[in-house]
Order: sequence, then C-alpha cells, then structure tokens
Amino acid sequence: MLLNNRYNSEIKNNLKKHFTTSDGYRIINEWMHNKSMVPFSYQEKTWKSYAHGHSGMVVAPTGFGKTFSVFLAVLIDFMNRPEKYPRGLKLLWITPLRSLSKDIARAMQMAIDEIGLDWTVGLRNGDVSQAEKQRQNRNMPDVLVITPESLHLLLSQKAKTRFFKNLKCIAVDEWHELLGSKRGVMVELAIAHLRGIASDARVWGLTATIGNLDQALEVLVPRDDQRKKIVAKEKKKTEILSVFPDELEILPWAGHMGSKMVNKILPIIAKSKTTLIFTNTRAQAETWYMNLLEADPALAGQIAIHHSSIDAELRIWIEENIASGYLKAVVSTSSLDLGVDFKPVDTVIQIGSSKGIARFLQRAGRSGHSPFETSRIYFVPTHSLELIEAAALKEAHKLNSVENREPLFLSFDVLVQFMVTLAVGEGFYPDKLKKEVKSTFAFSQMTDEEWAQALSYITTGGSSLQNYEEFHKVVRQEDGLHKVTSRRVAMLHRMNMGAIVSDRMMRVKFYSGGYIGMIEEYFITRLQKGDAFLLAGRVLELVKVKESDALVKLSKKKNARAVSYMGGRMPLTSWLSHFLRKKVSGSLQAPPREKELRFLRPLLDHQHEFSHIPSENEFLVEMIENKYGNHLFFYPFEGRLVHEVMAALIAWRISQMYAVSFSMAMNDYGFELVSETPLQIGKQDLESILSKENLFRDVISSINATEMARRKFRDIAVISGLVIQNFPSVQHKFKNLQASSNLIFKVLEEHVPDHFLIRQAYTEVFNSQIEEARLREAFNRIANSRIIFRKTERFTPLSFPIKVDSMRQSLSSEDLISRIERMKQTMKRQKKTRKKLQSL
Amino acid sequence: MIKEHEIQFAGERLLLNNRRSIYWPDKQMLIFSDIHLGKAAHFRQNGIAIPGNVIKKDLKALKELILHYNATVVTVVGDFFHAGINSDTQFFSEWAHSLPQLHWNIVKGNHDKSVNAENTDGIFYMNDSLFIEPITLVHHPEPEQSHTISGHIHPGVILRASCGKALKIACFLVSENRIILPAFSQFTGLDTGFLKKSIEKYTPYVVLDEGVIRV
Repeated sequence: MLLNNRYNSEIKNNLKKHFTTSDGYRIINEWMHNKSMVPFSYQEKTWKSYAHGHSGMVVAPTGFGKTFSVFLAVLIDFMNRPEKYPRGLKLLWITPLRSLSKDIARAMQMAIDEIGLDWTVGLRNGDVSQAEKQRQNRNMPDVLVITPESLHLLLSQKAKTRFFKNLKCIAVDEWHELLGSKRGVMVELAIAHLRGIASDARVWGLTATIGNLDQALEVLVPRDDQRKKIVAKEKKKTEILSVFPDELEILPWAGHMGSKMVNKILPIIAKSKTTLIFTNTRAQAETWYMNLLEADPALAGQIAIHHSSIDAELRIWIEENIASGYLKAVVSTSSLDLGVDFKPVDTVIQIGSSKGIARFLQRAGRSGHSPFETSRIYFVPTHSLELIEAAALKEAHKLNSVENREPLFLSFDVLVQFMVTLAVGEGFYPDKLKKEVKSTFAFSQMTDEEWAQALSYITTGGSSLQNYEEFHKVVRQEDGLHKVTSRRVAMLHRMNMGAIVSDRMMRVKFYSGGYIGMIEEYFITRLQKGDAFLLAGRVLELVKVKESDALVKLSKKKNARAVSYMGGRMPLTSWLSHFLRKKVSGSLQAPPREKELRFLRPLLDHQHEFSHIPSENEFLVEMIENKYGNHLFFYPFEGRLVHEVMAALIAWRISQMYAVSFSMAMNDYGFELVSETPLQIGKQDLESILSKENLFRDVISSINATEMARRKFRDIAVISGLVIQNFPSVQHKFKNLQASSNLIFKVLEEHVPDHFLIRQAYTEVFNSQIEEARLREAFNRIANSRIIFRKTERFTPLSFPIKVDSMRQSLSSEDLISRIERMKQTMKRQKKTRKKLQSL
Repeated sequence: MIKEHEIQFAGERLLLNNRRSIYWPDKQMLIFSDIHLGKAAHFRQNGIAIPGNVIKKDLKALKELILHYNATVVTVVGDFFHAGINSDTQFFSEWAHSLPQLHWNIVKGNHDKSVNAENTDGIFYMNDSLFIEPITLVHHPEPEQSHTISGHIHPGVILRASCGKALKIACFLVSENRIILPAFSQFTGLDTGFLKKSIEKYTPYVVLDEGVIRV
C-alpha cells in the first residue's frame, strides 16, 4: 500500500492545499471510478472537512450515499496519516435501527476489501450472539456499527477505556430520527463521555432534511467552534398524486370510505412493480389488508401485512421478499418508514392523513430509491376533507418546508440511568462526569442542585441531607470513585437499560401450536373468551389466556375488533397545520391546478353558504343548536393534542360564567363543546373566552395535570429504574420488587412532592403534552384574528366529522361527591344492562 | 375522619371502615390484611429509591384505628411482612412495644414464608389460619370454607364516569360467605380484574375519604 510513513507539519500544509492529490483521495477515487461511481460534491466536501479535523453534519436525501460521505472520509484520512490510527476501534457508527446495521456493515466491509485495506467491520446490537460480543471484547474490530442501547451496554463494561481509547470518529446515522427522543439524549451523553476517553475523536452526524438543521448540529456537536454543516445540493424528485373518490360527500366523516377507495387502489397496485401502502395504525393496516383481499382474492399470496405486532421472523421474511420483488404490495404502519432500501418499490400509497410533512416525504422516499429516480406517492383520503391536506402537503413540498425536531432538555431519567450504567462498569468520579454531562446540549442548563439531586438519588436514594435507610445502589469508595458493588443491582440494571418503554406484551399463539405475534396485554385483558380480533391479516378468536400467552384459533366471525393502539393517534404537526389553514383560507379562489380544492368545491360552497370559510386572519366559531344538542365548534386547525387542552380550557372558562357542563370531541381541525342545556353565549362573550390573558392560570385550572403527569411518569419510572420491567426469569425472589409506576408516583407525590423525577413528569406534560409554546402561539394568532361567529341549525362540512368522532371528555363545575354519585349511577346502569343481557 | 359502614356477616355485626380495616365490636378486634411491612426497605435494598416515611404513615394510621376503637386484639390476615426482616420491620418492632397491652394474631400469607417467631423478637406467633367462632381468618380466600375473612387479592374497582374518565379505588369485597379485605398499606397495588373473573357474587364497598360506599 502506498502510504506516508512520516508525518510532519509540512505534509499537513500540503494536505490542506493538495488534498485532491493525496494518496488516500487518489485511491478512493480510483476505486469509485472502477465501480463507475462519481462522488457527489457534498461527499468530497465531507472528505476534505474531515481531513482538516472538523466535526460536523451531513445533510442529504436518502439514497444519495450519505454513508460513503463520512465512512470514506475516515478511510482517506487513515490512508494519508496511518500513524495517527493505532490498533483497535477507530470508527464507531451509531445507528437507530438494528435492521439497517447489517446492510451498512456489509457495504463497508465490501468497500474496505475492494480498496485493499485490512480493516474489519463488526456489528453490535441485541441480535448479535454472546460469543461474537466476547470475541469483540477481546479484540475490537476497526469499525463497529452499533445501536445507542448497545453502546450504553458497552459503556457499562469494565474494559470500557481500553475499547475506546484509540477512537477517531463517532458517526451518528439518521440523526434526525434520534434527535428529539430520549434515545437522542442517550447518544448525547455517550458522545460526551467517549470524547472524555478519546479526546481527538471527531463527531459526524448524518441526517435527512429537517426544519432546524443548525440546532441539530449544535445538539450533536455542542462545544466545537469548527463544526461544519454540509448540505447536498441534490434533491430527491417526488411526485404527489391525490386519489379522488367517485363522488363527493358534502358531509364527510372518517372511517367509512375504505371499501370504496379499495377499488381505486387496485389499479395502482396492478400497474406498479411493488407498492408499499402506509396506514397510521395497526388497526387500519389490518382492515385495509382484509379489504384488499376481499376486493381481489387473486392478490392472496402476493400481498402481506407488516407492523410491530407481527412475529419478527415473519417481518424479516416480508422485508426480504419486498427486496427480492416477490411481493406485489405490503400494507404497513410506521414499521416500514425506515430501514433497508427496497429496490423494486416504485410506488407508495399513503392512506389517510400522514399528520406531518417530514413523515409524508419520508414515506414517499421509500419508492424510486436510487438518486435519479422519482419517488411516487399516492394520497388516499379516508374522508373528503383530507384532500385539503393533500393540497397542503404539495405546497409544503414545493416550498421545501419540513418540521423541526425539537431537542429534549434535562431528561433526568436518562441521566440517572446513564450514571448507574457507568457505575456498573469502571465507575465514575462525580466532578469529571459532571463536566462531561454539562457539556451536552441536553444538560447544559443543569444547575448544581439538580446534579446533586441526581447524584444522591443513586447513592443515598433521597436528598443530599437525608439518607434512605438501607438504600443500596451506587457506592462511593474511599478515593471518591462511584461504583455499583452489588451483583444483583448490576444485573437488574443491565437487563433494564434503554429509553424505549413499551407496554407489557403478550404472545399470541394458536391453541394447536404456532406463533402469530405480540399484542399489548391491556388489549387482551379487555377481551372475553370467544371474542374475535384481527391480527396479521387473520380473524382470530380468543380461546384462553395462559400466563403471558393468549391462545387463539381461527374464527369465521364477522365483527372482529382490530387491535387498537393507544399511542396510535399522532397529532397534526404545527407545520402542516400552518399550510392547512392557508389552503382552507384560499380554497374558494383556488386556481385550476389545485385539483383537490376544485374537487372539494361543492363542499366548500356548502360551508360558505351555511356558515363561513375562515381566511388566514379570521377565526371561525359555529354555534349549532339542534336535536343532537347545543354545540359550539371552534376551528384552530392545531392538531388533536392542542385541541384537547383548548377544549378543556374554553369549557372551563364558560363554566366560570354560568354553571354548565360540556362533553367534548375533537379532531385535527377543530373541537366541539356540547351541552344538554341551551347555550347562554353570544358573540360578545367570545373575545373573553378566547382571550390570551391568564392563559396558563386557566389551563392549569381546567386540566387534570396530575393525571397527565402520572401518565408521563410511566416512562420516567422505568428509565430511571424505579420500576423494573425485566427480571431474571428463574429467580422468583425478584418478584417482590414489582410495583406499578402509578403506585410509585402516588408514594413520591405524597412523601417527596418536589422529587426531581416528579418535576420532570410535569415539565414533560407542559412541553410535549400541552405543547405550551404552540398553545401560546395559537392564542396569539386568535387574538390577532377577526372572530367570525355563525349560528345554524344544521351541521356544516367542517363540524360534521367532529360530531361523528366518538371520543368524549367532559368537564363540569360540580364537586367530586356528586361526580362519584353519578359514576355510581352509571355503574348501576351498566350493571343492569349486563344483567339484562345475561338473562336473555 | 374514620367513617364506617355496618354489615351483618355470619350473624355478627362488623364495621367496614374507610381506613381499609374491619372492626369486630363483639370481640374488640381490629382486622386488617396485607400491610407488607418492609416492602419499601426491600425496594431500597435493591436500589429502588422509595422514601422511608411510607411505613411510618401506615403505622400512624394503624395506631389511630387502635385508639379510636380501643381495640384489645389485632388480627392480621396475612402478608404482614413483604420480604423478611429489614429496617422497616425493626422500626415496627419498636413501634409495637409502645402498645404492650395489645394482643396480636398473625395469619401467615405468601409473603411471610421466611419469617417466624424466632426472628421477630418472639413478638409474633404465626398461624396458617385462625378460627374465631363463627369466622375463619385465612390469607387466601378458600372457596370450600364458609364465613371467611381473607386478604391477598388487594381488590379494587374501576369507577367509570359517563365522560369516560376512570378512577381506580380500593374496596372490600363482600359475599354471603366471604369478605376480602383491601390491602392496608398505601404502598400496594390494586387488582381490578379479580371481581370480573370471580365466579362468586361479591358486592364491592369502595373506600373513599367520604366513607365506605357500596357500589
């Protein structure tokens, strides 16, 4: 191999000037040339920037060789300055997806072999065998492709420093996927710690386009002055096509257009090579899969269904057969949003709202994957109003506008887990670790007091002033080293690391034998014996529940429930709602090329005639009094989550004016308040009801923040180690350590109300549940808008889908005792009905 | 405020109270179950930071009840200890010495396996079950026996309001032949599924601050 053995400043200067004549660059270029590849200019820029010692972030669409930007940069630098790369692990490649890592490692190893280097590429994740991991521990490969969870497990090993001391580059793949999640915080902490071991390691992120790229770079590389953002000029071509129903319903409602639209989808599947059909929930996926087979039985064997409840082996089979082109179409949920490239896929169908621009384009990008092909995505509305969303998505795409990924701050649950992780391994010195932690973006604002709380939480259990009796977790040794000394504590911690908290799952198996998939326990517990449900494209009947297995048999029943999923209701992003308001506003003057709005014309005319179409500087409130109740409808177009809070707030404000109780319903466009008594509200009241004054005082009075915090605490309790989910299976004695997060929340709230993890739960409620910033913005916008108040007796096209939506929430100004009395009445009624049913 | 609901069971007058216990006036006996002494300390020993005052609060509530009724006998229907002897249980021993005139009956529960009279300072003698005419006190509800008072289940019900909101509340379960006590300790979970699965016809009495309410 042609390599410079001597390194001095002269060569370094030469390198700056003549990077393109360096050996490394020449060899890589030759290799690419032999494969008839030409480097993209952004790849060359990355190589150069890396050679200059910078850290940074590469922004490029999927399919444009992001991997080769950073990976080849490391190879080039190595070939130019091999003496800088001693034996051992040199490049750590962090990827959020296990399924991607195999392909990446294979591609890297192939490049290395073809170029003629002797590097090895290793894999480290939950699928890798124990033997292989031990081999790596003895002798680390040069490149290690790893998940954030496995990286933290490596940090909990006693030989950690030896593994990482010669590390030259930490690459974070799909950074946009990690940013904004607690896994992202895990990565931030790990990087800060690794740079404490290998101080000259560079950090490079690889990301698709998001709204806040500069911030994404700052989070990843918080302290370096010389961080570079390298953006590919190349753009992915995407074609967005709306699928129109045969006729337009003036009063649309969600969830019943399925069977009609299936006939529109069949020809699209027929004329495409391979189609991916995306739905938002598992329930929808199951239903559409059934609908497709019913409409065209010849598709049996050529289509498949893919989501997180399906047996992992079957999922792998499906993925392989998409890649091979054997399958004609696959119905899936977000489970196929990311992952290995499927070359044969030339068409994507999105069913119903994608709730966000980035997600829509990400899905579109799953088709026509190679750089110069066009991605084609069809948008299939589940009710006609959703066509406005298609128009909004097209506009957003035209303007290159996509959502931000908001980074998380002060996730103390992740921090204390990380601290114990280090203590399980080599141990840590608090002062040094504190510096590292404070150097991350997520914890840059952490106060000394908060650090002290985190530290005493893992050492004494309580506050720094008070020792919890017999508490044993991390022990401070004489020289100040903090370590876990108990093998039980270490084992329980290792078994429960990570930041993804899932519901307790049950295995679904045939009574006669054979595994089908996994389902949330709470879904199964709601079923009675003999109830039918849909899973993996089959109608199944519950036979019995045995420990953590649900035993089932095939069923011929028609009224099967689809597996529901609590987390499945994603709210509309504020980006998309912005474009949505814009489209609604201009809908009556839509030019002919806006096919969706033209199609919706009769519906829009109807809305215009009986009520109003709000323009961008107007806010519409409809009062509809009829035999179904006395309704108020509001249309902020801010997404379901924000509407939930707004509805509770407005109901509370009205109940302060006169005694009234409301039930509420909402969708992504607006919300309704319904009262049994006639409304005593006029246009003159609306301004104060919708006022931005005292916004948060009123929000806090109107919502049940404790209940919301309790829900947020579920994940926090697991991540911080207060609730242990995984126990060593044989050892029964650990069973005595089981407690629910609700119970711990109750105990902590009562005894240590200012506990830092309880506070975190409330903070998360305000940041992510209530979306404080977005709510404030919405009320500011309303304050600057003209309020349009319309009274009618008939439902309007905008109000009807909300009315049909079944979710109900209620608020009343009556006190608790009467509420309980009423609950009792309801229970009695339920019981009576049950009894009646039984006696039939 | 301690509030009661009076029932007739096996011909005896029993008071179900909103502090998760039963008073049997005829015997001057306080009956409760599943206090799980030492549970919080056991969690702490294994690195789970549960505050130490949980047990103090439970014992304070217990003392209030004893003084309120002027009870002379206390019967615990199992799961007195959570996981053997630790600092919480030692705290209890000291606490118990402050009530020397009290007689304790302790029925063994599934959590009490490793505990016996020798390692509890000789204060407690454990029985597998106890018969006090005409009622049997036993930890697991046994379908064969008649007129039993048991614990073990930690029964609870979900009260659902018309708006769809749900509250989980601890309760007594009472049938003609059986009473199942709610767990006494605040640091215990609830089983809301038992009532649905059980073949026996139980009436739940929920425990609220406002009182014991039949639902």
